[in-house]
Amino acid sequence: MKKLKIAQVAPLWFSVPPKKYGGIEWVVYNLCQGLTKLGHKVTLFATGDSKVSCKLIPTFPRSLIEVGISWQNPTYNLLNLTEAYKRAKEFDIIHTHVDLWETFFAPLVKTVSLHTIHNPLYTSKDPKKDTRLQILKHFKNLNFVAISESQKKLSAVKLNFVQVIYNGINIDEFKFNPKPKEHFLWAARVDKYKGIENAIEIAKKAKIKLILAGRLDPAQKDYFEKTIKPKLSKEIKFIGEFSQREKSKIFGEAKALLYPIEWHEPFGLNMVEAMACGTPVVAFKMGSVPEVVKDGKTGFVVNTIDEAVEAIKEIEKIKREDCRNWVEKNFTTEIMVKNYEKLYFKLLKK
Amino acid sequence: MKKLKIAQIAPLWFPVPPVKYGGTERVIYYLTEGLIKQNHKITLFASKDSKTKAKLISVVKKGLISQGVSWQDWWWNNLNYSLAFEMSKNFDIIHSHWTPLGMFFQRLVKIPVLHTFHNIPPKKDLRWEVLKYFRDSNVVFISKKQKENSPVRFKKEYVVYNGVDISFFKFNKKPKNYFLWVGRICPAKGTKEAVLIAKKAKIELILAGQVQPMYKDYFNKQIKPHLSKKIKYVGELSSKKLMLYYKNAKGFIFPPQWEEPFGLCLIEAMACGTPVIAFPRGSISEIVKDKETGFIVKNIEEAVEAVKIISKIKREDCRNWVEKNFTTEIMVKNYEKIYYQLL
Repeated sequence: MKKLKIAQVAPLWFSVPPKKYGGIEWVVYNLCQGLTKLGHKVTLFATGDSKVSCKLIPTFPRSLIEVGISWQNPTYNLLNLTEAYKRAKEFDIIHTHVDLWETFFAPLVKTVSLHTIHNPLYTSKDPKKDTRLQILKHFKNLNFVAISESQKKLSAVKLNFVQVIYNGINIDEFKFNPKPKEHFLWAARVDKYKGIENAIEIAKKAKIKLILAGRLDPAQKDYFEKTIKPKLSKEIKFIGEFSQREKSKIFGEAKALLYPIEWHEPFGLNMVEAMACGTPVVAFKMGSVPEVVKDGKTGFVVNTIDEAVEAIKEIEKIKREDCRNWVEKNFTTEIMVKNYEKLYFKLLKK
Repeated sequence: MKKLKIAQIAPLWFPVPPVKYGGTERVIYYLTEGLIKQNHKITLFASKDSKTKAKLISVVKKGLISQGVSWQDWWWNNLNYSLAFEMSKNFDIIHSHWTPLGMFFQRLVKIPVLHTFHNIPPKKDLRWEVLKYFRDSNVVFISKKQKENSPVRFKKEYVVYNGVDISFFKFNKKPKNYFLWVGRICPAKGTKEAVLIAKKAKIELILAGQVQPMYKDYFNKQIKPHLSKKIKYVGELSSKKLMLYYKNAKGFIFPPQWEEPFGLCLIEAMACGTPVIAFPRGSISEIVKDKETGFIVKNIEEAVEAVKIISKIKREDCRNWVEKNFTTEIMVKNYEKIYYQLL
């Protein structure tokens, strides 16, 4: 098959790969590395401190979050997009991961664009009052990829989803651990909707040890101090953010990952990462959870805190090998890259 | 000369022309209508409640501010730009009025793009860092001082003064006894200083303009306590009503506390024959001819002195000065020249 010239446009919030937190940047990293391995000529538009084996065009030297540029400030991400799109002729396809902002550029060039939406597309409010959704609707005929069936199904606006492609992880980086320690784990960005309070309540009711791990954004400090910190104890510990290197150990040593989320997670990379280490997942039935976790086989998909407590008692019934196998068969970089490659060729045939 | 197909991209905050406040939108209105008079074919990208003889293309029904959209929310404006640039094949030139949005798109089209800087960010604002990436742009500043204040230099730089429709602003030889201040009520525009001048000089002063939510506190604490029979606040006015206030004012008091990029209200006042007493910040000394169309003063004390001798200024001179320098026709001619140059 013909080898393609592909532009990948990442958000500039974190480097590719990110040093710690940054799910989208991880997926873009895996995609770039995987496509390059297959012989495609990939150009990545990302921060200057990114480290990839393909060609890198850096628009900004460092992670925007590291230098203190706010999530609300779109200018550098727009700049990154304009850098990619002004070179449109050099590419067969432009694949962007920047959400709404990329849609403004796609109609201005002849090169085919593909947009993977990594964020949720539902809203609990009136979608007519949601600027992002209304503008996405305006561009509904562009080529979109959803990262789960649930994300696509829950989308408040009808977009031209050309395919659902699950995120993939580099499974070699996650060591299978057949013998975990005694504690359970909750891992995500500290936020109520990520289920941190539910996890604590489950742990207390089930009388288990729980480690809470994840990035604490400055905006969440107050919430953490007031709501989470008072609940910490010998049994329930907060260890903060961890690097990719520590990840495998932290996930692998846990008896199970608790993921009692309060929102419709579009994908949930950390569930996959946990299972890759052999760690089953006990998660609330929200968003992509039933797709990512095979209920009864790689963990338990539950509806309430009490159900989660019951599931914990049954956790030994889950074979850790099954968790690993499930990820190997469904959520590896190789599978994701193959799917995107197929889609690129399909779009270029049109 | 060949007549041009021109896209004018307005910000979507207010309709073109604005009902009340909205200097940029007013200038775009004058420019668009003036270019049409010269037989150019204009497509205006603005909110749907705009009123223009140009072909109007709108992505929103009403000005964003009236819909409660925040100034921080760029997205509708972004869509407006995207659409205009997508249609670039229909135009000879694109004229953008909201910086830096147009710059992100200019490299993707084959036709020249011109940007008018109606407002420039403060010196250390992050936006300048972004503008540095776009040094190859064609930029119009609205005063020499604004150009001087720009920390970034661009490939092509021009100065074009704003113009007003001089037939709308009626000359009045015999004003009433009050002085006038017009603008957004905020520290930058010197509302408080205008009040202090009026109190010291013991004159009547009328304040007209919008109180934006973020300056409510400023208004309540710094302005409201001074309001009296002599110092009145009349709110935000329609253009017609405002014109009557300009016309009948004895003098226009304008003590800005920031680098004023142009000061449309100054030429509106002078067009009616009303002289200006102003602090020399930003463009002021280009817009006001000292001792001829008003007085440029350094502080409140000097302003008080100037108030006393305001009748030395001939109101005809003010009108003439605007007629010679700041009319729509002059502005349109200047822009027309730049368009042809870029082509």
